[in-house]
Amino acid sequence: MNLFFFLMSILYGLLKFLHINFIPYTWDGYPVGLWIAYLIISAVEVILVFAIAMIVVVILVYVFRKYMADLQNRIGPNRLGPWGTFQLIADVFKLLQKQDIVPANADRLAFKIAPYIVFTPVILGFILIPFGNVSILNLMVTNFQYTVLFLVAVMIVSPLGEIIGGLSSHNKFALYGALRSAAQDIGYEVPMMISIISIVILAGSYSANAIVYAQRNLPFIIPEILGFIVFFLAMIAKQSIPPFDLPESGSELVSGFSTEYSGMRYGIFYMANFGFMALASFVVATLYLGGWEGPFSLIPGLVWLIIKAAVFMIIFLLSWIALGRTRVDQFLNMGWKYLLPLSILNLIISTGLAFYVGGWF
Amino acid sequence: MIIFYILTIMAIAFAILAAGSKNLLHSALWLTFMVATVASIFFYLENFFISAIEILVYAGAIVTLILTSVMMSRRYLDE
Repeated sequence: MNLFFFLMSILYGLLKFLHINFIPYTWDGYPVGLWIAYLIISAVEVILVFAIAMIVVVILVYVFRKYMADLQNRIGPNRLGPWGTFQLIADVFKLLQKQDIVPANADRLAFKIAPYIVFTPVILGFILIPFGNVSILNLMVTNFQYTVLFLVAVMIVSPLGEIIGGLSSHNKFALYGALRSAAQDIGYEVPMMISIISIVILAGSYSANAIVYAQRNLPFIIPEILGFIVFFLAMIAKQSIPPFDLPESGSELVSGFSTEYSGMRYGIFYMANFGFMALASFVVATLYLGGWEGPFSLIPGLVWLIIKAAVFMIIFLLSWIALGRTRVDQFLNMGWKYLLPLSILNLIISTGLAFYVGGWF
Repeated sequence: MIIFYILTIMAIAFAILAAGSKNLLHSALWLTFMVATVASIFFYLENFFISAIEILVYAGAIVTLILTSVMMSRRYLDE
């Protein structure tokens, strides 16, 4: 009998997942196995989002290598598969085979846990983004009231893993990397938060879905251009890619906080880096370019979101390849002396806009 | 309800580990996990705002501060 209920709940979950409202069996007026059904829906959706994130990371790494090679007059990966598309898979297998070296002096527990602290928030962030309004597959995985607040909270956790990883390595360069990571973290987080607050004021809600809906007339990039600049620079700093790659500056510190990492632990840092790049472009596209809203309703929202995010991904990659590195003091000056006043100015402007022409946004 | 008790026991265990461990870095690590567990308790109780604020304030600000001060401590550098 339990198996029957279980199978019925699987069926109910699948039907609910496909948006077919059909209650297969009722007991005292309640659908049987409702919570199991919800559990199954959640599990399927989380696995789907995880798959989306991983696919995006794979594509992004390939595009990065090809693009970088193109700008440097090289060919890039071209051996494995058509046009070298299987290169990353081969790389992952190579990393999996490698010996897992933990330095003798290292703090073993913290050293082993740190990559996961960096990687988990990236996947959690993907769960919070509204991927579209397609009716067959419900791509809004989470739709509670405080999605954007949670997104910020999740994005703030991953530098902790960098600091812990760098500290626990007991290596001079890793320690410098961790120190710079902490300094950089403090430098951009406050302006980033304030620019998100101004979006929330303009949209009147913390929910990412409501923010997307509020941009149906005018994307927030136009009234919030200052906030967009601040947030975009903060996102570049958050990924620690050039010009703000102070925590892992390759020419001064060996590889910054990830100097001592090898094998798949380094691979997790690498995937987290690219995953966060994808996440950041999705977040910027959702918050400032209207998310899945698009001019033609025939094309599903997911396609619009991916197009908008791809633009930002290319800009991130271009800044990675083309720009030089700022000094630490230059970055901290920029964060506290320019980005913070700019974001406060943007907060004032958006408060005024929300007060006087509030209904329109 | 079972999930709530599991999370509570985890939070208490992480809190004891954070308070009891000799290594400052381990304390910060367990504190991070404790904060995440408390946030998920709030999330389970459907109080999303407090859950997000818990992570923002404690994991974002306080643990970063603790880690920075651990980095400055002479004992850690000497080890």
